[in-house]
Amino acid sequence: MDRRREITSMIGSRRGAALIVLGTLAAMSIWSVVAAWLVPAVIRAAYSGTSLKVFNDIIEGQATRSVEVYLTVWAGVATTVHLALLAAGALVLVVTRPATHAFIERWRAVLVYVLFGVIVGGHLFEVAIGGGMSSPEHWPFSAYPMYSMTLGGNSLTGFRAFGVIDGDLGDEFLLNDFSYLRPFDRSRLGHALEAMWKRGDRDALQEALADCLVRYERHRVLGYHHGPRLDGLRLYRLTWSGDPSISSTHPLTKELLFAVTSRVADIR
Amino acid sequence: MAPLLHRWHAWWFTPTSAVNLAVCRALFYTCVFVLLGQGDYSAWATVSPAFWNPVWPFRVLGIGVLWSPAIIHVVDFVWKVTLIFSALGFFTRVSTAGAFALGAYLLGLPHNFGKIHHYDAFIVIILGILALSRCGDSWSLDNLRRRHEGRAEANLTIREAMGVYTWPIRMVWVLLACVFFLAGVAKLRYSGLQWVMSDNMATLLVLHAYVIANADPLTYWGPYLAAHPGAPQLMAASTVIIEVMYPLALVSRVARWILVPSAALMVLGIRVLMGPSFETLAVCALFWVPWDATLAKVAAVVQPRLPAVAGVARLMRHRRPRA
Repeated sequence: MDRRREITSMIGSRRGAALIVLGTLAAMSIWSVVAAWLVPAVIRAAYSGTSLKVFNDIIEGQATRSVEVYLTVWAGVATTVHLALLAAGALVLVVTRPATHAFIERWRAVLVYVLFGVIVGGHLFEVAIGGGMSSPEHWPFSAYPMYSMTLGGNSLTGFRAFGVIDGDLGDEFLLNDFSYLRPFDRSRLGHALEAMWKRGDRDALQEALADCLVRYERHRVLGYHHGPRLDGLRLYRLTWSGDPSISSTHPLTKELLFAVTSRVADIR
Repeated sequence: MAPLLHRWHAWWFTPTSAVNLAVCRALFYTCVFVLLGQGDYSAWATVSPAFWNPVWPFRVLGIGVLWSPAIIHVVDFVWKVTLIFSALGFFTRVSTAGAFALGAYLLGLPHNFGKIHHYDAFIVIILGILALSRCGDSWSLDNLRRRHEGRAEANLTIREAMGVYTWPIRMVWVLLACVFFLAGVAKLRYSGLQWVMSDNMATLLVLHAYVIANADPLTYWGPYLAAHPGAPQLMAASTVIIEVMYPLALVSRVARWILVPSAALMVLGIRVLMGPSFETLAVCALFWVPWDATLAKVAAVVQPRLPAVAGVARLMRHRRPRA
């Protein structure tokens, strides 16, 4: 117990501060060596497939990207880690100061009220700007506008992806199950594709749907689902009826917007 | 003005037992682990950049998807460890800070791919509130370790009297009040009373039978209820009333008893009839429960039957007045 008190007292002293600063500088120095020499060598070896299998498997885009692309990405990562080490050292230095503890004890109420202001103020800001409706939300703050609009004409329109079954008939089915295109759920995928369509980004739409096709096939091979093999993917705008007197489970209307195949992307 | 400020300060720092916050800590982190810790966040590293549409914190801080699924797996594993350690109160300061930092990244990551869902944003804020609190001072492995070393938390009684263990729970109350109140205000703002009086709720109940939300409804009773005249309007009215009146729970014990369980049931009803998964919001109702008084009553009932519970009853006897 006395030994722990000694350590705690030492950390809070000037000597402790010096040790924390030196430790941070040492960690950043070691990281500089690792980031500038060791990891780039591993990246080059993995790119050429001569490194350990676990590293070779991380780099897959040799056909389309040069090794310089990966080294540039790594340089960004290394800088981020440098900054994170610096921030961590500064945080530890501040938190271990007795003056910091005294400040918190003395000004606890004020700090709580500031936190209150941030939480309530952040949410009220979202209300003021119409976050989620007329402007993007600032997550994690929100005005929680879900379901706040009444539906016009007792119907709802949404974008959905259909899989085209491989074979002569080309039958299609709705990719509604989470296991098909995980981690996307049907709602998030539909909104993402709708946003691309509305801004007219055909290239992004093609890449996104091609990615979905690859994802579906990967999950089929891995056994996440037992769906049929697909020849392509189609994006439809569906309209569902909210009329309780209509017992059908099918959408009212179905408008084809875009399609990709496993070989060539069709643009409509 | 002075009496108002005094009441304001007293509301935040009224003396309460550290047990309250400790039980909330244990239950909350356990629930987050169970409800949100089972997802595969590493799959987002395999998604095409065409979907990338960063939310505000990721855009401003320049944070992207970590470089491979394996690295996100590691981050996910560490996050789960911090959640367990936080629930147990083990190295609480570090584990709660880690749970907040890693949780903010992992829970925020999916929202960068086309749509912001609303069932976990408040969880991130609560993780932050608990990281700033002294939730590990009581009923924790840290406290057991201190007692074993003869360093029982000497200042616990003083901190209880200063309300150090009150403000985090009150802050969560305020956050939940914001969530529900703003949801109700949004309905009135964008649709007015038409949201209640029209067939909107009936339409929503039918539409969700088409499984259009992020999760499937647990039952298909929605269309059946929608076909009954008046039932959808009653549900809509109840929803708006509960949401708009929710802040009253902050200041009235009677309102608390009515609105908090009603809101939890409403959220579960959404899951049952429509699908959207807001179970996390229902779970946060645990912060409204006065655990010290509840456990004391339970111990008083059980103790005569189970002498082993006497230890718990002794602990509960040393409690501060309820808020």
